[in-house]
Amino acid sequence: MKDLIQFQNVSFSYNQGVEDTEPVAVLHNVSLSVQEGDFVAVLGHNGSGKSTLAKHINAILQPAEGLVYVDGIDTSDGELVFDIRQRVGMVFQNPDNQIVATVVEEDVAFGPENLGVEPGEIRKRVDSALKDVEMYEFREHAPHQLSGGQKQRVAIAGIIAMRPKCIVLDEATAMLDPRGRREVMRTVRALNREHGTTVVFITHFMDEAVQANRVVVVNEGRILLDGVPGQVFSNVALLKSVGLDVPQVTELLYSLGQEGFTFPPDILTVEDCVSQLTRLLPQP
Amino acid sequence: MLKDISLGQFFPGKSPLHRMDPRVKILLTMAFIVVLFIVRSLPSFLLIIVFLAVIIGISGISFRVVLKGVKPVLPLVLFTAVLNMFFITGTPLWQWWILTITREGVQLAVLMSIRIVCLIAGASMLTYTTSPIALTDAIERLLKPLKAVRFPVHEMAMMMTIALRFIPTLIEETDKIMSAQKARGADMESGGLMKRAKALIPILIPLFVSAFRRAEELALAMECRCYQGGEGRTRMKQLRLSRLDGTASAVSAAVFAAAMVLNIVLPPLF
Amino acid sequence: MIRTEHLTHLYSAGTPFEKAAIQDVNLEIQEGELVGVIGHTGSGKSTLIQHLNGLLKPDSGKIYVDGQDIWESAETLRNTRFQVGLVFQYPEYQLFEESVYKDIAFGPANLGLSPEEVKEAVRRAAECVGISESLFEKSPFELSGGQKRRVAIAGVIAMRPKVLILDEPTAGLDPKGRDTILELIRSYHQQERNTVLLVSHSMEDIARYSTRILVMNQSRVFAYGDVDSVFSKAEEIERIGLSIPQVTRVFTELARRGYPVQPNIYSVEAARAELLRLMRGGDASC
Repeated sequence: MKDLIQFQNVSFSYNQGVEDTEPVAVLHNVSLSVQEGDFVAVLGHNGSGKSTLAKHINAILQPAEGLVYVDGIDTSDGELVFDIRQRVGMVFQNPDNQIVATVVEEDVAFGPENLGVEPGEIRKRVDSALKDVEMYEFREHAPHQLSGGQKQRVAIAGIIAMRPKCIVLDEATAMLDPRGRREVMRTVRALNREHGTTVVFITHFMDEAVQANRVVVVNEGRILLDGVPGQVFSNVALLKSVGLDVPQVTELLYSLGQEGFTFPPDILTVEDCVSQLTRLLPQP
Repeated sequence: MLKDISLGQFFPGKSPLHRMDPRVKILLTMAFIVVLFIVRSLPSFLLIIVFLAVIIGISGISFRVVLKGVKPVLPLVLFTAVLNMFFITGTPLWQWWILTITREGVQLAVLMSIRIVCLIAGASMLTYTTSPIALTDAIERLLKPLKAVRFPVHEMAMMMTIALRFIPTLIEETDKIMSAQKARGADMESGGLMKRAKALIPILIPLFVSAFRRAEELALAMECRCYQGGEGRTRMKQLRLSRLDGTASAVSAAVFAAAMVLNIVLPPLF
Repeated sequence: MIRTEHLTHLYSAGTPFEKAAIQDVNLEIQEGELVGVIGHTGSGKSTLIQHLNGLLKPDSGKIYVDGQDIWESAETLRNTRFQVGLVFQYPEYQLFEESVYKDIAFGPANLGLSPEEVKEAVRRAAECVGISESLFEKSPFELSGGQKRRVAIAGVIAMRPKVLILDEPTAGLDPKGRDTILELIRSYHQQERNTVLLVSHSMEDIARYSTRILVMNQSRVFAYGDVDSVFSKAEEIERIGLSIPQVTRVFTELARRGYPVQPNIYSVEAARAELLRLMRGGDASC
């Protein structure tokens, strides 16, 4: 698999070059690559730099130092900004502030219209995108009649109608209720699995990160941990020290581990936890 | 509740009225309004009212909804009617102290009331059966010739679309902020004009702050979806005139002409 | 402290779209409780809490605060607004004053307190939420997200309500911000010994902080009682689509398989203690 996104020693500060202000360093020498077809969760607390990282992927921000490549294109090339944005779509946090049109299907058409796609083709893309996110029957609804989770799915449809290689969700679930969060997660997982769309999922909810193929933990503008979920979450003490949650069962087995019991470190689910416990508990 | 406002609302549907080209609908509505303000004879008005009733019938929108849409302008209708009744000079019908009601006054009051009610009902048929986006789209296309004189047609249309999109959101937000400030003991119902105006500050400031934040985020989201202005943009929905539009125009033209003819050959309402 | 009788509220009453937002809600909330309220969006919990301080008027049924029918007169209604403090979702969006101090003082000033009393109320409220006096003259719009939210909460606490209701005070916060806010609510509750209603989507948080739990579902009260009694219905709660804490599920499963475990385990700490008891008890050599 080839690398779709590459960060090479990227550093970034806000207020760089603005007079009378101290630049605020947000990213420090970050190197990271994401393979095509991968599902990567980026986990970190507010202010950890995870959103800044995301904004580099589709050239909203350019690195102060280092380079970012998307599908081989250097994001600092001003000429190619729209080529990058067509390849990497972005879903933002507030579901109300990214829907442009007053009718669902018109909104989904917005991206392809901007790209100058021919009308008949737009219609096809809009219909298939809405079916992919399971919002087809809502195509003529007004956005304000939808729930938060439904709005985010419309936003996702608006992105996939542009046929990108990658979707970046920048805390797209932070403002949703549990049901909405589940809907969004299920939708992006299906896109990843069925269409091979690369997904970069920025979140501070560990239960969402658990469902990714790979978890990158960002703290203080640096990559703290990077690996499969089981491996990352086994660092219970480290994650807690930077203000992040770990699954309750992982924490439970970890704390029992400190009492001298041995468990595999990568237990994330209730089922696995129960079978580990029954191994040690006296038979009823 | 602020949410109950129905004027300017769109009711999705599949009626012939919904399927008509929005450009044709706009032009016909304009013609309707012109006719409404030219004619003054009773039979003409009867014809117009019947025509309007038929249109409402075809649209599949219930009369109740249309009446509800007219309701907010009733005070205005009443106000103009009363003014007309008392201040038009002519044959006195009734007199008391300095107040005089004249025959002409009553006639004009009735005329104006019918006009305003028909105007609102007719104009709301346009908005009820045309999605706001189709409406802006049609306006954009109708105004296209103005591009030659550097009038920013696309930008205007985009602004209208976004305004329409955010009206419900901001109404909901206003409701929320009002409740929140009420919960903090803000009193918005009593006091004089100055006090009431001052009581709006705790609502308006948060509303503006949030509107600006929304605008900023929306702009970013639009850029991320490759929006670069009207240049090179295509549209999913193409507007095409159909047989339906031809028929509708012909029928409307006939009705409008009949109303005008009746207006000329028959004595005016006053 | 708060009692509701057959409380019902309809949306779009009198139209074909009529729908009950809450239906026949009978509740009794004692003074000093910390009640966790949970339910899906649209389950009626937001409508319910807006009734408790008189922001919404019930279509039928009564609400009593301190034995007083709140809709009896304009006077009782206004008193209720002050007695029952309501912190809305994303309360930072209601900040509007030019300084933090003035914003927190808005509520107490509306109460008609003297300037001295207002000052004292603001000082105490700010202390409660950990906002230092050095921030008083700053514009609330200059603060960080977490600080803004705490200032907004202080604005309600400063009215010294007998009942404090918070609608999802942790929405949109990361784990650290969430813990800060919840700890602050807990210490406020312990200090003031007044009644607190905490609306949340997280059963973990509710189980950890509440003395009683109210579960709303489809505009009705689904369950209401102390933590153990509500969790004894864990399976029904899961069936209506609400999640219960992972450790509780572990213990339910262990109990189902016949292990002699305590059923009322909702936190990692309790789970750890219970498991250690079992494992050490069964195998002393370990």
